[in-house]
Amino acid sequence: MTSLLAGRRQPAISRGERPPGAVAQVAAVIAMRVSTLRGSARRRTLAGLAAIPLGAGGAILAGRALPGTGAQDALILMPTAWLAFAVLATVAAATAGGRELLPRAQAVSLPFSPAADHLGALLLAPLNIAWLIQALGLLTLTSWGLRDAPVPAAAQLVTVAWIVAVTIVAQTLGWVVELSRSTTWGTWTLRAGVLAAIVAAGTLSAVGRVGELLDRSPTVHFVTAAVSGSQGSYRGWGFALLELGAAAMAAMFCGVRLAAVVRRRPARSQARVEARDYPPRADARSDLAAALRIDRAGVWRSAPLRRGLIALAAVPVLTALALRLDWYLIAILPGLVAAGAGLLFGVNALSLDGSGAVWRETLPGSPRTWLTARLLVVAEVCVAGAGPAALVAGARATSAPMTAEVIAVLGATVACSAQVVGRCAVWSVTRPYAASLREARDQPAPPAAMAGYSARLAVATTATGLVFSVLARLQLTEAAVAAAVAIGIIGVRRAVIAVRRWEDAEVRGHVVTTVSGT
Amino acid sequence: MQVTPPPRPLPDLTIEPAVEVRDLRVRFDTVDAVTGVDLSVAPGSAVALVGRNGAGKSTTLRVLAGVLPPSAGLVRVAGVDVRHDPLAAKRVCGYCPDVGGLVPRATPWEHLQLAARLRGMAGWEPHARDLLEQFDLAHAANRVTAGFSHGMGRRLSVVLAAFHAPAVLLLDEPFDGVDPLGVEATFDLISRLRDSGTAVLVSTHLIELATRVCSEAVVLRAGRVVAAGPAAELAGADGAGRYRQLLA
Repeated sequence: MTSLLAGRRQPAISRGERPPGAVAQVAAVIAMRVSTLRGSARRRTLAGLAAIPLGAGGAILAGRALPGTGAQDALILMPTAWLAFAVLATVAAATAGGRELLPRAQAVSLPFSPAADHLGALLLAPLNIAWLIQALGLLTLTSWGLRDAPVPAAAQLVTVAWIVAVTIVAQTLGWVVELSRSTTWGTWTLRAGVLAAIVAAGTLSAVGRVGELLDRSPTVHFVTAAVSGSQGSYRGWGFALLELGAAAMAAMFCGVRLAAVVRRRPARSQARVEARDYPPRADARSDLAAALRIDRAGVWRSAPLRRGLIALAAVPVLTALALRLDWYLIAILPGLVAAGAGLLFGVNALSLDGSGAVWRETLPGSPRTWLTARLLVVAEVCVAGAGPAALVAGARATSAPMTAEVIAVLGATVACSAQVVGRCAVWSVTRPYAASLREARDQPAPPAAMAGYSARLAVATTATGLVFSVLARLQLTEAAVAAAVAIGIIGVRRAVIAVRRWEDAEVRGHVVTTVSGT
Repeated sequence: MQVTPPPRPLPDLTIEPAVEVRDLRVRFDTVDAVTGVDLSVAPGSAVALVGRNGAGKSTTLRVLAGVLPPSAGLVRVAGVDVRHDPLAAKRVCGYCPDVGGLVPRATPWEHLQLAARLRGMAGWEPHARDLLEQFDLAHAANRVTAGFSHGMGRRLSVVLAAFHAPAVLLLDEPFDGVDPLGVEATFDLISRLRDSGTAVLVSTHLIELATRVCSEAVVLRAGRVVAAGPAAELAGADGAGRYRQLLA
């Protein structure tokens, strides 16, 4: 048989060369991702990436500019802040998505190694706004606490080493958790661990031994080393750096191995959801109720969303249990939770339908009802996360509340939820992405987009939380009500504008074909 | 089968066509997906829409189903102008998309429940059970579709499209990855709906199946109709040769 390629010049494909390593694989995927960005999205992404080192420099300078009278307090706070960073980095890696440079479904047809997968997860960690803010906070705190030390750079070196080592260890623990979820035994062990953590936090808080425990935190050792380094004493400092380096390397090695094992395991939690029967329910009483029912099922039957939702409610509750907050500080909590709730799926809410978005578009229902139901579910998730946190924090507060403080907490919950829903509505309609939200590490938008969304939501809701915190402190009840109404109206107005856009058939056609990946 | 200019298939001019497309154009930014399609399907007839990948078949069906608005041209389904009254058009159409088309974390029964609700169907349950039985999906009626095989998903998409016995049934690749029993069930369904007056438009690459289920065929190339005529002319080895010529 004559070859169809006879007479044509064969392309030069070399198959015998050594395949590219993890770094080259990650670089190739990043280059591909950057090449898909166009115009303002490309500029925003590059500006965002450049902002990370600039932010680090700014955080150090800010610490040096802070008043020296508070330096001693900053120094005392450092071990607790370092511990909090470790806890949140681990929780983020274990519960949330955003650790996947190349989604599993895309990676199956590419020679993307577990080492590259792990390296990708490490590189994506700074794109998590909670990680970033905390890391910058540690740099500021070190700079502030040791502003008058002879060699502050030595202390910053330990801080950076702590941030790097903890991030690598946290990502490795993330793989351990993912691996545990792939077996029944592991799943129950994890649940028992979480329950034990809640009970321990509650007990320690009830007997008033949280402070004592924090004083014995292992972070004290590293902070002491940082302080001695800043004073020109390098023995303990060097040893601490060696310890952190060794921990980082060991975690890196284990992380690669664990990533390989996780890749070979089936996604058990999702398989369980997909294999079970969901008994039919009676017909819904209205179109909105029918849409709400299918949307809520879309959240609760998705393993990553359900897990994220539970973590979103549990982490602030645990924090509130462990720390007795003043009422004016409780007003900041709802904003932080609401921003996290939006990031679960709200920023790309229409992706919840997956390829079914095209089918839903062919049904003779009102587009307004469809999107309204979706936004109500986003709002429910915000309130379901923020409500318990505020309640527990209120129950554990240092004192009985004044009316203004209660109103401020309620106002912050309403205002931040409305803010998140409004922004999510606009983004969902104007910047849709295809997202399956099926596997453990799936997230509603690509990593760079998620970083942008998380930054914008965090800034907006934290600012709102601070406003209500100040109003609570100043006992301004009427002002808190007015602020809640005003911010709520702005959020609702954004949502209404998004719904109007959604009613345009052309916009809807673009969104449904994008989220359905067709 | 004529090559150019494309004839407009109007089997019987005394009957108002269930699908009427005149000079349909669809443009995505700088890309012309459909560049002037004319099409007509009479009630009770089945027309195959065939052509290479990217010929504009799926886009045409999406416009008819109300998923995409046309950039230009006239599109009517069962006498309803899709552009001016998309909601009414959706009431009379049933559409099976080419890929997926299922809400991943909803069960088949929940899909049918939502469709029945929005289409105002009463007493739909026995009919839904029958359809699921015919397509061998009754055992999976209460499982989420994310766990379905490709073939099961295709079969459910056909069920959802035909559920309300639409005046116009639009099937995009309904046989793709479907086992022979599923293909037979789809054939039976199309036949029954045609008998009750439904106009059927089937887009597929499986020409042999298309010629078995459709009486006419329309060949698209680069966003426009290049040939139309009896589907039988594309059957067999001769038909396959003729079809390849039209695609070239």
